[in-house]
Amino acid sequence: MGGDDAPGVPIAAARAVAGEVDVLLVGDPAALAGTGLDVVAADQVIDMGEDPALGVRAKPGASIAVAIDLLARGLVGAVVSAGSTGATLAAALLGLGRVPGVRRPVVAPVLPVGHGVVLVDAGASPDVQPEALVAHARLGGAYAAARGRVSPSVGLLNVGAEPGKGNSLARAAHALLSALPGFAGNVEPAAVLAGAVDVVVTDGFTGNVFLKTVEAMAAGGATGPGGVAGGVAGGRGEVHGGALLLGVDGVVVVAHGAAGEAELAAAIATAAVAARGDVVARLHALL
Amino acid sequence: MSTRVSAEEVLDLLVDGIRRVMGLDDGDLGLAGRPATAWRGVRFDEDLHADSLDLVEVIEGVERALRRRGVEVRVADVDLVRLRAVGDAADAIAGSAA
Repeated sequence: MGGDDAPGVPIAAARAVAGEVDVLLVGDPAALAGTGLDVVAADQVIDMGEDPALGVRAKPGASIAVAIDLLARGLVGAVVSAGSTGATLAAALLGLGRVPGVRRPVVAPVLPVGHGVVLVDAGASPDVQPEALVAHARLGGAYAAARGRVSPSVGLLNVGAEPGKGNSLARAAHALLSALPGFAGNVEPAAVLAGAVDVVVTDGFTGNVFLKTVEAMAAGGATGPGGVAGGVAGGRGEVHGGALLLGVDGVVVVAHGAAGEAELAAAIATAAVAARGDVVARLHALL
Repeated sequence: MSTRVSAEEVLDLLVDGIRRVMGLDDGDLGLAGRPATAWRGVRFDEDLHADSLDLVEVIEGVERALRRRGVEVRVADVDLVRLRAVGDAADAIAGSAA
């Protein structure tokens, strides 16, 4: 069981959603004893400094590997992790496989602005080639469609709206994305937070910085020009209820390592909604 | 049932795995029309831009495929991080057969 405040916060979050979602905790049985919740024992831990893929390979008894195995065997409907995103990605990809046609899964939170803006990628792949952003757009568009948006619009996160703006990655990606149906061009952060598009694509490094900046501003009650962060939420926990790991063949939600009880409970709810709504099957059909 | 496997058989499985995991075809690497042995010198880092997750996914895919055929293989983790080229991986997997 990962997360900065494990096992206390995960236990509290699981209790908070009891009655709405059946939650099974995976981790050190001694630490989880007496909670009254169902527990599956996992006695290994993948350290934050460890290579995620090698860690998952070397430690099949790690909680994330055990949890993913339960999902792969159909014993649970979804997995939520506040542990290392890299380890979660590795365990999910190795244990579940991918939706056909997906090269590398992405972290896809839904920003609570407009009809909900899907951010792709918020941290799975920091270094990507321009072609990957086209794949991000297709995945994000399919997810938005699965969430009910008709012909979702896709924007490329950039420092200006004009086609020539940005670094070499953004300019090359813009040229490739221009052939994609629904592409609405470059979007600046303020436009994203105004709900100008249904999907915003970027590399995992930029997306992670963008998300954390918005969250930090919202948590501090700060507002940027035009009340940017104020338009999102009043606190970090309200910015998003975890992020779906989009492209793996199962419902996996990643939450902040520092997630509090409410935030982790929201992530569990996100996972339950995705599982009950058959989001992965819809992605299969849409991609 | 044989418990051994040749490096050439492993190479075929590796090439299939690399194509699937990394979304590549022979044309991407200038290998169109050439035999699988042409892949032996292809480097994971410099040529394929593969990261550790790509590498582990490819290797574990081949290990699973061989186990389904009754061939027990597992590259030691310490050896896995030293693999530089596809041919190294074929030799390491074939050499690990129990």
